Order: sequence, then C-alpha cells, then structure tokens
Amino acid sequence: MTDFDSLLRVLKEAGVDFIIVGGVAAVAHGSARLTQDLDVVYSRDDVNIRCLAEALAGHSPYLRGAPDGLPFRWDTETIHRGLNFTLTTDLGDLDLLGEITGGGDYEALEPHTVTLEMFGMKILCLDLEWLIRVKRAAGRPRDLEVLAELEAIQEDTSEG
Amino acid sequence: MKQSRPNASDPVLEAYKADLDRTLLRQNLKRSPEERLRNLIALQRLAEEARKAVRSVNRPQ
Repeated sequence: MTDFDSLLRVLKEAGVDFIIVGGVAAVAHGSARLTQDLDVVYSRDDVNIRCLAEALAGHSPYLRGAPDGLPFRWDTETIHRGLNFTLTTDLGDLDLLGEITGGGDYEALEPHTVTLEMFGMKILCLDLEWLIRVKRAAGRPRDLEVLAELEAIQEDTSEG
Repeated sequence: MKQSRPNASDPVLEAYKADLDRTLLRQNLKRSPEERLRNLIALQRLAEEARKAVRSVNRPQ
C-alpha cells in the first residue's frame, strides 16, 4: 500500500521539484478510480537530482519487479544514467519520470500545472487539459476508462 | 478547436463515457483535491484490509 501523503512530504521536504501526473493527478481532478502508485515527473537539473537522491536514500528504493539482490544503488550517478524509474520504497510504489509521452520533461510541463494545497504543502499537479492530452498520447488501452472519466469531468466543469 | 481534444468524438471513448457513474464524479467534484486524495487513501486502506481478511479466510487450518 502506498502512503501517498508521506511520499509527497518526503519529496517536498527534501526540496525536490516535481509534478504529480498519472492516477493520483486524476484523483485530484475528481476521478473516482483507485490507484496504487504515485507517478511524478521530476526536474533533471543537477541540484534536483541531488535532492531526489537524498530524499529517498533512507526509504529503501529498489527497482519494482526486479529480482532481489541486484546491485542497485540509489544515488545521483544512477539517476543521471537513467531517466524513468519504477521504484518500490518503504512508503510504497513511486514512479519517477524524467519525461512522459505527449508532455515532455518537467520544464515543458510546468506551465501546464495547477498548484494544489494538500496535507499542508503546495504541490504541482498536471492540469486537467494536459492530463487528458498525455493520457491520449500514451494510447494505452488500460487508460481508456480513466480518460473517459477525465473528459466527462472536463465537460462537467466547463458547463458549470 | 481545442488541441487537447483532437478525438473528442472517438466512439470508443464515448462508449466508455456512456457507462460512467456521473453522480459519483459530480459528488467528487464538490470535494477539494485534498479531500479526494484522503478518500483515495481511505479506500486503499479498506482494500488492503479486505485483502488481508480474504487471505486469513483462505489460509489452510
């Protein structure tokens, strides 16, 4: 089970620049679907990568679905070498994305975010229009239901 | 035309939309984003408890 509020707090308190995308963003916009992990797009600048490495260092990050015992080290070098990481942590599952299909990287997405005040923190979340755009671009059959929900929410809120 | 909705009349999506519980969505829209996430967390905890309960029932005696 993912402890969403604690994961968000760990990232925020370490000063990580990130944007919530995926299922949690959909829920924040009004989706009624249950999601299991937290997906965020993080900035790839050097300072942010250092903050990200430090933020999760004490939370046992490991590659989700990988066999036990791999020589996986969570540090700046690993983050620099990779881009998207699907991790397990002791706070739950976390997908750290350097970029996403149809949306690009943190800098490209930042103008298309809303600031949400949640759990006593200000957190960037992809706005509804762009969440729909990236879900469409991903083109995954499993996204169809949530995409239908998001479009219905968009129709409802633009009517209101 | 809005760029973000190039396939607004996509028949597959429209079919999914026809089955949506819009009452539930409208109820959600009355909540704040934090309330929606707290609701998700509560549902997740409920699902986890239900999974544990099922496992304990299915465990061989």
